[in-house]
Amino acid sequence: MKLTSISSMRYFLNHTAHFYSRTVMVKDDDVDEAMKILNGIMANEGLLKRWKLTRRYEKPTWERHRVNYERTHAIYNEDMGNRIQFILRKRRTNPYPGTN
Amino acid sequence: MLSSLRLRLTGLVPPSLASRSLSASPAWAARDRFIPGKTHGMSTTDLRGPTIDESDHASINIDALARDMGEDGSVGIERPFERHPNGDMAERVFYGVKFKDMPYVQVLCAPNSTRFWLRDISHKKLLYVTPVRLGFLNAKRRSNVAAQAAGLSLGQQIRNLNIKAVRVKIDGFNNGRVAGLKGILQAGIHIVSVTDNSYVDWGWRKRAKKPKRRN
Repeated sequence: MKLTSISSMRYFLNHTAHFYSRTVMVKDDDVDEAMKILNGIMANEGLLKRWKLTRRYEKPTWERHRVNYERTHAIYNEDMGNRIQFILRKRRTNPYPGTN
Repeated sequence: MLSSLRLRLTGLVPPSLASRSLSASPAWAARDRFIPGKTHGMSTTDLRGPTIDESDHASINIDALARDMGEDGSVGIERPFERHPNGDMAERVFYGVKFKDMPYVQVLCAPNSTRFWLRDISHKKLLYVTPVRLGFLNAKRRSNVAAQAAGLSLGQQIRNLNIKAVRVKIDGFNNGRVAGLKGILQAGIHIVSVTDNSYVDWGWRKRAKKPKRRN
């Protein structure tokens, strides 16, 4: 197929499995429900966030700051999660020690 | 009106070449550019056909229909609804048309406008609708009302082509992302599936505009 413009190239650049990937079937013309699921998939996969970031150019220095923040945020969350799981581990007679 | 059957009966076309489908008015398949004085054959207005909704003609694939028919000849076995297209979804029949043979609506959600194309399975453009053509100019183009009006107009034009159900392919995020689909439903067209085809660039292949000033 002759590709003449970037808009027609966009059709083929993104994903190869047309109507298979990022697709949600609509039940009884309930488009609201289907769009909710689809937008949820886009958000969970990180595609929505990336799309928003690409609206304007992100300078490399800002990108480094953002990536480093995200890494430290992830480390903190993982560590805090481990601590919480550790404290919740033991079975006690009083589940809230230190309170009356 | 059974063109393939008529071809077979004349004996000119062997059964292997005649397409196994009932297509009473394939107007959308035969719609080509008409130049008065040069194009020989029916014009697009003639091909469109006489009436809009009084005919029940649809492009039906005989093999798919036979597979979906019940033992007593009843059509349309209730299959369990699957939310995602797994397995043989491509071969499933929706409103008389296989999923892979269904025309699709391409919705481009741009920052200032929402545009709609109807394409057939060979990606050939059948229809093109924009809010500007309906009177929404400048800033009004990007509203959800404009998108819904454009979707409604597209839906009405789809009905003129005797198409009952479409798939949808959406590109981008704006106010008219869902409103456009509502407009298509309003016109009476069934939407079978919704796909997201937004272009997500992970490597700045096309460098975007510089960020806005924040004073």
